[in-house]
Amino acid sequence: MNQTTANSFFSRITSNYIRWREARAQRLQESLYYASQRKLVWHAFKKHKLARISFVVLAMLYFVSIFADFFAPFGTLERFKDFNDTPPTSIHFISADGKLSRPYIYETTRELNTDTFKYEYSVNASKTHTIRLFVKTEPYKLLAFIPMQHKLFGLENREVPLLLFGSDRLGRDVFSRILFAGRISLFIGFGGVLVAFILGSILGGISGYYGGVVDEAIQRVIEVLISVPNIPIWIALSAALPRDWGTINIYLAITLILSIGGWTGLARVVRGRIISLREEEFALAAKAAGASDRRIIFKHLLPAFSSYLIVHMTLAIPGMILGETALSFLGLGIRPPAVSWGTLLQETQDVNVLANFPWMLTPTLFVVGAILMFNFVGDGLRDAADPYASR
Amino acid sequence: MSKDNVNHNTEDIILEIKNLKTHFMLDTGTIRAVDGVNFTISRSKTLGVIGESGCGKSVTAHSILRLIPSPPGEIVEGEILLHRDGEVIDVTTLKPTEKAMQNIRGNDIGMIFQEPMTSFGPLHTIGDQITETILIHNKAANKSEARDQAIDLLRQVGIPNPEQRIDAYPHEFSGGMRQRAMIAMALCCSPMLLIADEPTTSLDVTIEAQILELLTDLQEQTGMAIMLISHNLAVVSEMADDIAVMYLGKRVEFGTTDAIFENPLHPYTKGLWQSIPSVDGPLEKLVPIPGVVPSPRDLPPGCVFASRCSEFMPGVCDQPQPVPIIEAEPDHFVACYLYSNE
Repeated sequence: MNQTTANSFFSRITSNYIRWREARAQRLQESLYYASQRKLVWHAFKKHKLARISFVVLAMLYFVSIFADFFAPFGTLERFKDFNDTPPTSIHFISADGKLSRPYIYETTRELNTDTFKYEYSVNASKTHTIRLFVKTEPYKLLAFIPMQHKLFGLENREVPLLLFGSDRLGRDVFSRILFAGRISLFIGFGGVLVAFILGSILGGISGYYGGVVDEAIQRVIEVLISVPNIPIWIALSAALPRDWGTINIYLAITLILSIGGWTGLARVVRGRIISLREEEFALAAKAAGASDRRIIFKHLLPAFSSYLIVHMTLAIPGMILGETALSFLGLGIRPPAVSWGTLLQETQDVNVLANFPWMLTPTLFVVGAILMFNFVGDGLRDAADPYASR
Repeated sequence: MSKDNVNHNTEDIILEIKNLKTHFMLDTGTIRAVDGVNFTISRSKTLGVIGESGCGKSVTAHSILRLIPSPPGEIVEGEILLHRDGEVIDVTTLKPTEKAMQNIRGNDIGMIFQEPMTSFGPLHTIGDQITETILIHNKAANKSEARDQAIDLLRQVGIPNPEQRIDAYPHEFSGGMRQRAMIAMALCCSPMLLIADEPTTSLDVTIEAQILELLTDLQEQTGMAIMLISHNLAVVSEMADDIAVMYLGKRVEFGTTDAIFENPLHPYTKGLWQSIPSVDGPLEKLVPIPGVVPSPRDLPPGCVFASRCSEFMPGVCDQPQPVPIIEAEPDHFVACYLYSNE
């Protein structure tokens, strides 16, 4: 094939490709003219890069915490006896002879330096352990019902510590504990927001629809709740929880406590929207057709601003996560042996820990990351759901 | 039978309104939106209610269905008697939110509104909203039956291709089609009475004619009564058997359509007649009714029309006492001192 034909061949391919891309953009544009609201919102959301990335990362975070049994190399209570307060294990990718190799670690030994009274870690370069995928462990049950005996990664020899984020005071793997803690910390947001959503839309709906004395009463209650600072109320209520309650009871109670303040904002928004919508003729028409008040509020009025409610709830989840973390950090929320990001941070209340074992702070990264990503997703949703935004 | 009502065969009576007074208690005073209205509607008959804006036509209709927002609105006096299967229900004694009231709405009395554009919720399909109404009132029906029934209703009101259009959203319908769908919805439980609150006001004249024709046809088929509220005299004269003329919450004249058109008695009715152009007659100057409607907050004593009346009689019409209702000719009542013998 000579030079000119090759050139024309490539230019034909490129021009074909450009034409194909333009046609696709055109089709997309046309399909948007009669796309449903849900499709439009999805399309706009996809264009919001940060929100999309955050959404994917959040989804992964949730996935990993749900299946923490599999993803975490160790259990929450598994201890490495002689490796308490151990810094993160370093992972090597280059073998001793300078070649790229599978990730491996050196075996470390610990000795107490009698002069400084600090532990010193020495690497035994002759003993290496390769990190393997789907390593075999003792049988366990994924989600308490799927029998399995493999973990995502680990060492052949389970006695050798592989501590990605170091270990805590009792020699437990911080990385594994963070993954398990996500189960409580990430989901308490959903629980709290769900309760807040139910309370908020019911009370806000009633308040807006009926008006009058009911409205006054509900609004005054909301004002009182808003004016009381959140943290003291949470502390008071969670301090009142019986000490002998099990983890599940405590978890549900904390969810309720967190949603006490959460529904007020939503209730106000719902009230405002209902007040304007109840005057619409279709509300009167529904009433004239014999619909009950409940049906009118929840079937005809609330769905009119459901996209707004979803955004509001997405943006409320970080508050719940932070609340749980704060309570558990203070020792009033989730109680050990259950783990949440807050309980993991309890140890860092000691300044010694901060100074000497800074890896104990890694749960904060997860808290900050999760909250930031929720905010990005909420922002993206808000922009996407706004019918007046230019598309 | 009250003495100031057009004679009806007692068995055919569907709704009797006796001395209905609906007032709005506002901070700035009481507005007597409906102040002593009487009329009777019978099976297969159409009652036209006419009057200018704010005269209480719609409030009367909403009172029948107990749709008056309360507070501030309240039915302070009177009876609304619904005759159903031999029993008589006084609607005013029911609570607006009561189950019995919800059953009357839509089931016994259907209502269509002035604004077909906004009377459907924008979020659900037309079919969903009609089937919803059917399912509310007919607990025995299942979803697919209700859907079939909705399709039949849409066909009955002249929506082309109802099998497909049933899944359309309200914004995909034109104004006329939406009003037809609205009628279908009001008819889905075969009500005895259909209240049409200015059903054609926001439609153009050709569609208006179609809708009115549709209503007449449906009335012939089902034998329902229609209460037609309008400020369009032509529409009312075409459709109605009886006419009630309202002014400032009072029923000033009541009679058969023929009587009221041939021989309008009340000066207000006469004024209304003079203010519409006639198509076939010689060109005449239109005579508007002079003055403005007095504020409903402080109604003049005596006759509420006195301040605008061309035949005002000082010392008679402004006496602080209720204007007597006079049967000027058989079945033709007027509230005016002109026809008083005293």
